[in-house]
Amino acid sequence: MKLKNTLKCLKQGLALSLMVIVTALSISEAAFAHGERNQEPFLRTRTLHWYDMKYTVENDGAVAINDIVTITGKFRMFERWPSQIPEPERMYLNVNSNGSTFVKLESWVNGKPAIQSMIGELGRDYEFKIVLKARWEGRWHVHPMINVLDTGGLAGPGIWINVTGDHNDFKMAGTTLEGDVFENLSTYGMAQVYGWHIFWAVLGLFWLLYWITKPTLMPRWLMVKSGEYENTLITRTDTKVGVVMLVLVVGFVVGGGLYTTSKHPRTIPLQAGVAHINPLPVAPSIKVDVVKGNYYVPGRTVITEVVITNTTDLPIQLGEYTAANIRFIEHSVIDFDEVSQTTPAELLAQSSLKLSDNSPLNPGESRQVTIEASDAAWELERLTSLMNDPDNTLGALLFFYDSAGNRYITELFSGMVPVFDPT
Amino acid sequence: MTTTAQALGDTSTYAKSENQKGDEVSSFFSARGAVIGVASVLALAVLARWYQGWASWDYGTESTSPEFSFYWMNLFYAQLILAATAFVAGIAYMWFTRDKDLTKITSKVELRRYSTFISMLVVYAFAFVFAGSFFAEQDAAWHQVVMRDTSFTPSHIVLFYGFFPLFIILGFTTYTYAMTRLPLYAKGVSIPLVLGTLGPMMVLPNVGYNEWGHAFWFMEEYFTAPLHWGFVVFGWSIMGLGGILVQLMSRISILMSDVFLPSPEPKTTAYTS
Amino acid sequence: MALEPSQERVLQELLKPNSQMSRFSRKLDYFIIAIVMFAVMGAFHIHFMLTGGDWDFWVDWKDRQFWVTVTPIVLMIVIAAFQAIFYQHFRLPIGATLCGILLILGEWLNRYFGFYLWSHFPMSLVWPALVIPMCLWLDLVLHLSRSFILTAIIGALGFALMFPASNWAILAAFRVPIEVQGTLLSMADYIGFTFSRTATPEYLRIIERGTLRTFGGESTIIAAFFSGFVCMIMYAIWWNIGNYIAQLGWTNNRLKSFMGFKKDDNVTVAEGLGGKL
Repeated sequence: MKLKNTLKCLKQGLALSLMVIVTALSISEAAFAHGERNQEPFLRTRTLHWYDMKYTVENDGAVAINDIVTITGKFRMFERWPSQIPEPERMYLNVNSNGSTFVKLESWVNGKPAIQSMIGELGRDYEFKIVLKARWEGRWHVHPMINVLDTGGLAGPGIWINVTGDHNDFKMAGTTLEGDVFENLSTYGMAQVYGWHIFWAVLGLFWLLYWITKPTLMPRWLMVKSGEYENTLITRTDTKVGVVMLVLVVGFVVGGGLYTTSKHPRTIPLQAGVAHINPLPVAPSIKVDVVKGNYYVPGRTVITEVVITNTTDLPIQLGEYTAANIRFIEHSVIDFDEVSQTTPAELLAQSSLKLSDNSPLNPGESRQVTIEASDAAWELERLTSLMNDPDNTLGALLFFYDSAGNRYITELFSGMVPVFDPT
Repeated sequence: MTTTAQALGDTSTYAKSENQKGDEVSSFFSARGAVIGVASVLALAVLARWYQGWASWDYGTESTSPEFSFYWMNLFYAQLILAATAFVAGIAYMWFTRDKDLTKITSKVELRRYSTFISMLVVYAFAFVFAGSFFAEQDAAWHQVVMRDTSFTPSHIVLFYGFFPLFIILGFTTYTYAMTRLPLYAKGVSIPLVLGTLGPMMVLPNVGYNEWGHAFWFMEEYFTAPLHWGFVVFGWSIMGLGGILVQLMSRISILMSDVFLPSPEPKTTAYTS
Repeated sequence: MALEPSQERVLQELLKPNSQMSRFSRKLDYFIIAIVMFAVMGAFHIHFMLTGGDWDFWVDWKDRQFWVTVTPIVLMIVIAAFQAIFYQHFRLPIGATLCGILLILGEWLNRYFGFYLWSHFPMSLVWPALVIPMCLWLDLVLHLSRSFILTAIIGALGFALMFPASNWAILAAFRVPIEVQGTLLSMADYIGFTFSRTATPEYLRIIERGTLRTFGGESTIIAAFFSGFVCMIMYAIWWNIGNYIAQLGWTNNRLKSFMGFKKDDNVTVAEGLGGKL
């Protein structure tokens, strides 16, 4: 025993000293996220693309417990959905906020309630709105996300929110259709839960103690083995106590059930229907054919060679390239400062998107150009880990703007050949 | 024989009982060992849970971050080294301090060793509570709210590589104690004892099945998914303790007679051949 | 089974109150009860959480079909085995209740420290289902009938029926309707929607999605009866597995010479074999 205890002490000691070192070192608080970086790039770039994201609180802003935060935006279900995962037969608009630190008050897709799961259509866009209420103090990273059946959670761009106050002050009142008013949904119905659990635990403990407060093991084992002591093992008192217990158990189960039914005469089963929500109407888009795609490892740059054909009636220019929630902005087309005020820095490339020729492309014309999206985010977000993946393809959305300010969204899909040492 | 007793730290009670023949009972089942063992395991569990609460949300949600490597992977490596060392040390200690002639031990010594063995089982079973109940269900709570991006999550590092090894080390050490100090478990291999103390060890290799399932089979977090059922089956093996219970009754009843009852005939040790 | 002469003398001595032997035996009781409690808590909880856990974790999984069907069946597996060990060898009708109480204790500890404090879920979402009444029922039927067969038939059926019946007292409030965003929900659905789970979205729930017949009003009863039927079979199987485990024997230890034994030394009945060799 001595050695075991010494070992345990050692283990504890080491753990403690590790902790001391840990606290002694001051570590810069990086804006790291929920683990989506380790999702395979094909999953992050060829499933959902989020855009037009708006939060009613700014990144790293503060709210108090019970304050409301609204997230709105759109997402595109990528048409060239990875064949490795099933098509989105069921999907669910969700929020990832480090547990129930924020609660969902409302969730809407295309103006319809998205409380139940829905069916997703590939190649189509959806507009969503989630209304949240702060519940637990701390600094939390809050994402909208879509859970897709057999694929799991696909997180949208997240922001940091600092919640101040005390979670015990959280309130969420409401009224049931029976007319009962409740003060707080997080403790709703708990009086009965605690009460009945305690009641049955007491009865159960009584039954256990009834037996184990008497000599328990050795004498009973010997008596059973001997075969001549059945009436000592289970006495008449034991039987009487058993009968009383049985009456109590059945009585309280039946009585409790009947009483509850009279208290709640109108109940419904869990609701399990599917929300039928149509995608947004199909919008006109620009034709883009990919010639080739490269990733320049030293420069952290994705270069895609494409042929763009303007299928609209006005001249167009490329304004934005977005993949895996990282936005690459063409500074001469879009006001970068405005974008940087609403987009978290880690999700926005600081240098401009570069095109070999981004002069306005006239209606009906085609032009072969190279698009350079360059940023450390390719490495930080581990999107270049696609070299370790069996599927070496990348998806992105291209946002074109015409001279009247209209926006056209086109999907980009290309293979990715690494260039390790460009000469 | 006293050397083993000394090695186990119960020399004082042994000597005392030898001098005070009047009260045999007090020399058995000293609560001290069990209480210290249980308290140590509890202290480790409290420490681990506190560390999880302190470091998981701030540094444990993104496995690619340097903070994760620092706060969590270092803990993981430290645990691996400690567990491997403790495992070898526990078994080696029991083996090298074994009783080399169990044919000559008295019933009283044997019964005292049974009381130590049972105390060790208490500590082992207590460690299993944290592996099978507390940190196991907590794993469901954690993976409900994060995106699983590594096999070594703050929950897994404590559960699979902290408390699984802990109860496995205690189980193997207890088994080796029984084999090297108790005549019955030295002469034969008790199948329930193997099931009860060594069998649950299989939950650790089963982590491979679990991670394979999470990587290639189920992308969603069903806790009742078949990829977890290996833990269930190997967890059942601790029911082997039921068999040990019967074996304990069987042997201890005979030893009780030797130790506590005036012998109708001149008393001999149980194993003098 | 007859006792060895020495065991018979021990029993006679144990029947005398306050004998030295009784006091020793009582100490043995306390230590073994501790082992049993810890082992049952660990084994039963890991078994249950990985076979019926999702339904028990979340209030919006506690439906009329799967929760009612699955829970008693998977509970029965370990319960029947422990009941057999305690009843057959000690005539203690406490196996089921012991399992139930320890499971509930483990669950509450975790719902508070894990689900509430660590993951911030409210208790109204994660309370565990009641299992003690059904466990008491099973023990009492065995105790009063003294019959494995009757317990398999009446006890196991009642075990399953009693599960939804006893839980109704706490569940009904969560089945009260409410309107949210113009949609009809039960309070359980509403709680599940509000306190969102990142990894178990709505569609993942294995719950009653409706039947092709007009059994809507009888879903719970049908599910409970079916569960009871499977429980009877489970009880018979696992009672026997419990018995089997308790009488497992010995094999030869090839290392015995290191502890001074000869090749032919084996465990004998006179020494307290406690199983086959």
